[in-house]
Amino acid sequence: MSSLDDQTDPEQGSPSRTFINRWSHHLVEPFVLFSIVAFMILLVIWGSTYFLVNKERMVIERQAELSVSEMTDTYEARVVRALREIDTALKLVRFTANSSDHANVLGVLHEQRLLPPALLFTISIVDEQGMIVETTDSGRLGQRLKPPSQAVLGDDYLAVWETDAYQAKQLSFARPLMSESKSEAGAGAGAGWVVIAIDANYFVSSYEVGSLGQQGMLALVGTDGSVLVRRTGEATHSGELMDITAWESSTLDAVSAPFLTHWQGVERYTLVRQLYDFPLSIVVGLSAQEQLAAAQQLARKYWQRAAWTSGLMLIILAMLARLSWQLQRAQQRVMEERVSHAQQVEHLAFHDTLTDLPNRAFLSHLLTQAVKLGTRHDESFALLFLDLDRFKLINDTLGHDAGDHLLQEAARRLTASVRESDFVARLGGDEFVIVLSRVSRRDQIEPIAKKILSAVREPFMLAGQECHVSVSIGVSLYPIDGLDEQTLMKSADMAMYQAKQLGKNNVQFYTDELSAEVDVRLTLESGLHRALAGQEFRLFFRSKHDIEVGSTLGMEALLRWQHPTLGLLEPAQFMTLAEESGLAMPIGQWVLENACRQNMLWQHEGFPALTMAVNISARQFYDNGFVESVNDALTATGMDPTLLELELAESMLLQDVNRTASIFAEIKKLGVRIVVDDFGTGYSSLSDLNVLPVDALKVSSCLVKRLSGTRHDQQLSSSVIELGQLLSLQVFAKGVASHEQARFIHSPSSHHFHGFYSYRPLSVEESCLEKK
Amino acid sequence: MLKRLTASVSNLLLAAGLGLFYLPASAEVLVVVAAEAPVTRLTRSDLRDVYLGRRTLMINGVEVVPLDLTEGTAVRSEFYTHYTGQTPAQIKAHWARQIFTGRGQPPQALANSRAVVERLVSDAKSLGYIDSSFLDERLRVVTIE
Repeated sequence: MSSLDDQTDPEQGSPSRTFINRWSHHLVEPFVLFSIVAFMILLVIWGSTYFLVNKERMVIERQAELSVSEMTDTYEARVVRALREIDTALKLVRFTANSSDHANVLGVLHEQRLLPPALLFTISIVDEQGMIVETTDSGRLGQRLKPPSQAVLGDDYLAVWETDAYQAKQLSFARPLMSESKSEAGAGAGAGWVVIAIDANYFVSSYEVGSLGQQGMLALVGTDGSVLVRRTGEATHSGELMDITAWESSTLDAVSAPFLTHWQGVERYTLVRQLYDFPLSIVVGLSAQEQLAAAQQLARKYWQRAAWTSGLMLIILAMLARLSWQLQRAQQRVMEERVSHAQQVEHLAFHDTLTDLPNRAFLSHLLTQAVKLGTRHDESFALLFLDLDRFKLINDTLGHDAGDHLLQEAARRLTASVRESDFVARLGGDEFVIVLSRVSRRDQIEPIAKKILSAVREPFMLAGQECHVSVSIGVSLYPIDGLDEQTLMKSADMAMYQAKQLGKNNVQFYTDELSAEVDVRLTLESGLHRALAGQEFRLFFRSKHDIEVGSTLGMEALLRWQHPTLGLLEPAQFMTLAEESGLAMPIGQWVLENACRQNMLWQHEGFPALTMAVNISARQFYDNGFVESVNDALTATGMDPTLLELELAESMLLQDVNRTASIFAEIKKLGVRIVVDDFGTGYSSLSDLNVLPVDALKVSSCLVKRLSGTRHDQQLSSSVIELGQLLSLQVFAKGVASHEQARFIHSPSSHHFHGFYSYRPLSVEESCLEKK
Repeated sequence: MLKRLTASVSNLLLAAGLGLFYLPASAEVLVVVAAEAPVTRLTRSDLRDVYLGRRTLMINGVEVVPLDLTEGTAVRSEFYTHYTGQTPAQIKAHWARQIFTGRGQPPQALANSRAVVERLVSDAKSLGYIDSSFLDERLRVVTIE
């Protein structure tokens, strides 16, 4: 019920598009969105970290290679210089020994401070047998020194070999004493060696842990690849074999490009360089592991940072995602509230607040739908127009709360009386509409209508009182009585009106005749106002005759409406309408005034002063301004009040006897006469009639006719008439046709009456003629 | 060991500060100069720097030339242990590195304290260390702070 638009959307996208739409819709969900963002950020963090680490590693590798090559240059220069110094010292000693006859060559040179410091360098002169004949280290004097090799003695070149002294590795350098002077001095004379022994560590003393590390390497290697001295960290080694030829070969082209070697389980950036002029090579190595340690540490730091950043980022994202999720939830809640509010508003807009039934707007929509469905599926349905009788009375007497309560209860009963597929709507006031689906015949509807009638007839408890309410129902059928909402509603409304007219608490079906009647009624209704203003009302007159001589005693004014299209209309045809439109009083006033005026006219024309009877309706009589209006008419026309007779139907006098009596009293004060019309038909309480000051009675024509009927009829009629005679002064017979007048006067019944009224009303002109 | 030495040195300084003069009981290494030499006192770090060839010490515009004893003498090892806190082997390694890297030459080494005394007397620029038993009036003990 809540949704008015139950039509499905005909616009359906292609399957692939809906798929993408669905997924793109999912993308904005916090979980998915933040997962994607997190994944991308992680990718960036770890990717850039990997890139940085790699770059750092390459930088450090490059740096290590560079420093190896720089260190090699330095080391090479130092070794070469050291070797030159040693060689120079050797040559100096030899020169001095050969050119002088000093017994103490070394002592002289030492005095002159031409020898390298004795602290490190032990300089000895040995003879051919290897006996030390002179030395800077006095402790070694007289010892035998193993010469390098006999084979090379005599060739002037620098010999290098290893020795052990004082538990330390020493390197010895030697040059033969005899050289250029060999030929002069003769073989063997003074021949021997000058030897400089030095701690092997000397050649690797430039090793610095700070730059070379604990696993670096400085080494002096002989041509055969045997390591003369090698230092790694604080430890020195010798006697190892190093395959420097293999390392050298790889660095032939690029002298300064280090070579990554594996030696004794250590990976090093290594550079080998053969010394110029000396039978030695130097090897410089930097431990790859040590050099890269920094890079690795840095890498570790980077990875750690990446991990921390990732963690932090994930936490932040998780928090953001949570916030976002909460926000979305809140928005969703707001949206839901809005939707429910909108639904509520819609419900309010389409439902009656009092009974919660669909209201007029919703009914209109539902009817349109029903008509559409009916057209499509060839289905019929019925529209019931209901109006609670006596609702206004209850509302006025018991109050609006009771009225509301009545409406609610009535709505409940109506809803309970119909099927689930039917619906009940409230148009407003006490009007309801029920639509019964899938019914096409009266005999299908009647049981339901009866059920509704009896449900409403059940007493209502309102404001502590038991109230009886009834309902008038008008029915129209789709498609017989109308094909659209308006027509159906109008038809049902007409039928309902008919039901009201027929005494309420019943059901009426729409018919075409009804429509015609209503058309007439509508024509009349719209014409009434115009009639009053446009002089369409006429007065006709009926004469009142004396029973004895038949002479005219007075006139009775009768109202007629000369309708432009419908012709001459009697009050019965339009007075109810006039009462409903509130025109009863103005019309009554018009009649009173014009009757009096006509009477005066006739008097002026020379006719005798006749009584003028005017019929008064109940509505007019009980109106508060009635007596005044009578008085007004008399004053306006100047007619003698005693000539005016007000005719009142017997039935209406006794609705409220006290009120009637008080009004009569006022009328009598004016001097106006009161005539009771249709006496003998109202079964009135005689005691009530007795207290009223009535001047005359008019006996209805049927009673008059009965006087000449069967005996039984005669007796009945005459007793009624006699009763009237007892109550009033004068009794008149009603409705005697002009051709019967003479016979009536002479008939046995005539003694009952003072006079009679003619049957046929005449116009003003005719009346004049007759009187003449 | 080092602590104990430091303590004894501060005792010595304290004694000197109080104006007391005493001769050490056993063989004591003394840093000495010629009596007429300008040097009277040196800081420990100055002494160390001079002997390890780390810098040239100038006193009154005159370079102080350190004299060493030859390796293996007891006074020498006592001196280096005392005043530089390094063993003779470390001193040797130090000089090996200095010489190899071309940064300097070790002080001239003399055979014994007597030779040192003779050199000091003849050369006022020199600074030396001797066994205390060789101390005489031509020399002045340099106070090491």
